[in-house]
Amino acid sequence: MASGARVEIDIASKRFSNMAEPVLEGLKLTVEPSTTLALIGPSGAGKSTLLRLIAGIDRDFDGQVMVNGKAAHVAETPGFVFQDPRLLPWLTAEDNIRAVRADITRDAAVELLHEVGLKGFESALPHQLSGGMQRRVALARALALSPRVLLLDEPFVSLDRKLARELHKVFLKVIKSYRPTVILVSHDIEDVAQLADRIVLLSGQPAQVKSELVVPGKAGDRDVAAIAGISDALSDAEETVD
Amino acid sequence: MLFVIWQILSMVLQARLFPTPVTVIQELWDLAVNGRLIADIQKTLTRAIIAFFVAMSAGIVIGILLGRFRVADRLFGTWVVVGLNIPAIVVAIACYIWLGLTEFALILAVVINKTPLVITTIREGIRNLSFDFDELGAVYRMPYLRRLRLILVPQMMPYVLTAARTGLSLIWKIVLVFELLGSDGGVGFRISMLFNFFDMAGILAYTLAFICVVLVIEYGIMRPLERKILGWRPAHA
Repeated sequence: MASGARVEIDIASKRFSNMAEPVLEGLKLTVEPSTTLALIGPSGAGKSTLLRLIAGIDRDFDGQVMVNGKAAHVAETPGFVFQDPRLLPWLTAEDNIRAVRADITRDAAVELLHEVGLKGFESALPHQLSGGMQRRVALARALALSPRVLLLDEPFVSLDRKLARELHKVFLKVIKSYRPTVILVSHDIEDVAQLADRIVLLSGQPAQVKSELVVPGKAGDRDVAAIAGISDALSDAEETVD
Repeated sequence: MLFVIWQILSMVLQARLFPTPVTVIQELWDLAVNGRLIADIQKTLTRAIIAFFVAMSAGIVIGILLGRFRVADRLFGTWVVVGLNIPAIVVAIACYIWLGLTEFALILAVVINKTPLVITTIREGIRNLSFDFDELGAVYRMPYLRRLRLILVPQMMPYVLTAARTGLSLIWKIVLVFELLGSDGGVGFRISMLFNFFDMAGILAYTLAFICVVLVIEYGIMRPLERKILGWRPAHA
């Protein structure tokens, strides 16, 4: 299994034509291979935009995003889990996985579904699956390419806490098994505390790195006290900078 | 139920103006066996099918162009509105005057009447394509043909089927009117002949036969096709 890629981000400026202020400015970050970085920050801070730059689908910015030494748009295709599961509603769970990779076998696609705990749902259409199940399919689809970089854009948003915790376990299991470099965007402290090795707090527009925190303990094993500690540390960091 | 109401009406009204269902079915049988019913239906059906496929093909291509390129829509959008609103009969008369009472003129007139409707439906479909799915294809770097097959075409299919369904119903009516106006055969032409003799039983027999053909197409082709293509939609599940 290939391990994760090193992601180097150096963005001088990223702006949209309909906005006076840049969304991102002077943003420098390096994500070490096979580690999980969480990006948190206020709404509109450009976190999702940053993920699109790393995915290589938006090249209209000053600066560079390198994945294992290659510009993002020519680097290996990343895995991407969107805020909404974004499954093609006319395809079954299995075919949604096969849609993103032409050469994947049926058996391999089924195996991926089993890995995310969806045994027996191969032929189900997206509308026949619950919200949590749809996100599992989206994760399986992201893994279809055995990506070196896995980009997660608020993958647990609008799920209830119990379901989000169940999904944390599924995500942690596959991250451990595939060892990609993960960049997670989330608003939820518990999500980032459970999954991340490092947390970067972004300021509002234009987004810059406000503070960084290496998360103590092992991902997935952090208890309530540890999560509270991380939350306090982030609050302190925010206040210190303000 | 329909036949019961029909029977009652025919008993109340004059039999010559409103023949009984039995009379009409007898007439239908007679026209099918001894008359030109089958040949007329074949002729109308052929015209409708050719016009349908030409109008659908042209409408889909133009609709995609107008939906995709704003400049094209600005340049030709008004013509589509004109095409939608111009009376069908004017188009038919113009085609007959310019091209003569030919098969080509009749089919062209039907195509000109039908195509704007397909264009507007397809243009709407293109405008409603999901940006999110576009982004999905871009993130996973899906080749263009794969995106076309797995992302674009399935999104367009409801619009294509709507255009096909509304198109068919419109084409039947227009073909019949244009046949009545000037042609050498077909259901519309025959109905105009029967009208000259006030042969209500014959007119209803032709109408009944025509309705049967339309229903066969609806239940034998359109609905199974719709189930197959749009079966993924919750309402069809």
